[in-house]
Parts: sequence; C-alpha cells; structure tokens
Amino acid sequence: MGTRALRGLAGPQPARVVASPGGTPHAVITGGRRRLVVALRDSWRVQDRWWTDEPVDRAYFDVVLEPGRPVLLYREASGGWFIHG
Amino acid sequence: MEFPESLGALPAIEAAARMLIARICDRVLARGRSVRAVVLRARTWDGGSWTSTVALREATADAGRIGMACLPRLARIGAPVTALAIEVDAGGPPGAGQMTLVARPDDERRRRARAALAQVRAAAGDARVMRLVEVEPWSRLPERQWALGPYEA
Repeated sequence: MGTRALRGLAGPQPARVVASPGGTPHAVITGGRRRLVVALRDSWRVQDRWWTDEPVDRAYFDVVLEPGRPVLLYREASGGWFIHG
Repeated sequence: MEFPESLGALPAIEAAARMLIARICDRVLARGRSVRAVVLRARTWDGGSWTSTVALREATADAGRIGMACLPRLARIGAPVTALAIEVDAGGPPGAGQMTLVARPDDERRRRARAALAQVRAAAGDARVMRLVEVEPWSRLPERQWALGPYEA
C-alpha cells in the first residue's frame, strides 16, 4: 500500500436538529438556514463497539431535506445530533 | 536569457518568454515528448528573484498553448527584469495531444483521467491524489466503512 497511511474520510459533524418529543427530526439548521424534513425514508438503531471504551449507541434517520437534499442524521444516546456528508 | 538593460514593459518580457517557450518546444518535439508543467524564473533589477510554477491542463508541445498558460503569470513579477528563464518542470508522454484515427471512448476516457491526475500531481503534489479504500465494509458505522489511501497508478 506504499509508505503513506490510510486516512479517515471526513466524519460526521455536529448538527442542529429540531426534533419531536419522540425524537423524530423535523428540521435541520444548516448554513444558517432552517431546512424542513420533507421525507423520512428510513430509521434504525445501531448499538456497536460495546466491548470497547467508546461504545456506540445511535438512532439513525435517513431523511430528505427541502428542497430535496438526502441526508443521513443520527442522534447519540447522550442526545447530540450529527450529520453525515 | 540575460538582458543588457532591465526590461520593465510587460510586452517585452512576454516576447522574451515566447522565444524561450519556442526553444523549449523545439527541444521537446525533437525528442517526441511533451510538457506537463514549467517553471518561470526571473531575476529583477534590484537583485531579487521570482519563481512561478505553471501546471498545464494537459501535456502538450504546442508553444501557443504553453504561452497562453504562462504569459499571464509574468504580470505578477512586479519589477523590471534583468534575466528570464523557463524550465520544464514535468515532462509528459510522447505524442501527447495527438488525435487518434479511430475513436475509442474507453481509451480516451482513461487517457484523460491519467492526464487529469498528472495535472493535479504536478500542481498540488502526490499526496493530494487519494484513492477511496473499503476498509470495514461490514461496519454499521458509515465513517468506518471507507478511508482515503495513497493513489499509486
């Protein structure tokens, strides 16, 4: 593979999300603008790496923001929201 | 190329650069090669020096194309010039820029991709060209599935 090591892709970034009391995202504030969630395509839970010091417990939401941008969001068990890509 | 008196007028500096580029192209064409990037060097009247590297969009031995890429840079020198030099920084493949008799889209696409990669490398360095590598395709965490690795063509 050569002398240069692998490098991680840009990881998930913290996001400002407006969610319902049940935890479903309704809007994302991105670039200073509030974008409504116009479609929730899928949602799932990931509990992983529980055998390490950094266990993962995330609720993922595959959503479409207005005017049609697909986005993958997740909420940490601690309550923080993150956005992929 | 040394000047007996410093050149302050841009058209005069450009004319000197055109002569240097023509010499380079003669040499490059004689060897059946092409040019991917050139370095412009100037010595200014106050003893200072100026250098600029120009990466070409595609390898060529055409003096007109090289001139179009290089000459606008000369306006950045900003002082009368006592000497000007142009050197080939990165050579290109033989026969670059020649058209094929029979169009083969895949070959052409690969050739253009190689040329674009070489251009990025010449302009930004090898480390800026990376390949997406699947590292943990089984992971349920998207950020762990892929990584960037070195691209060694």
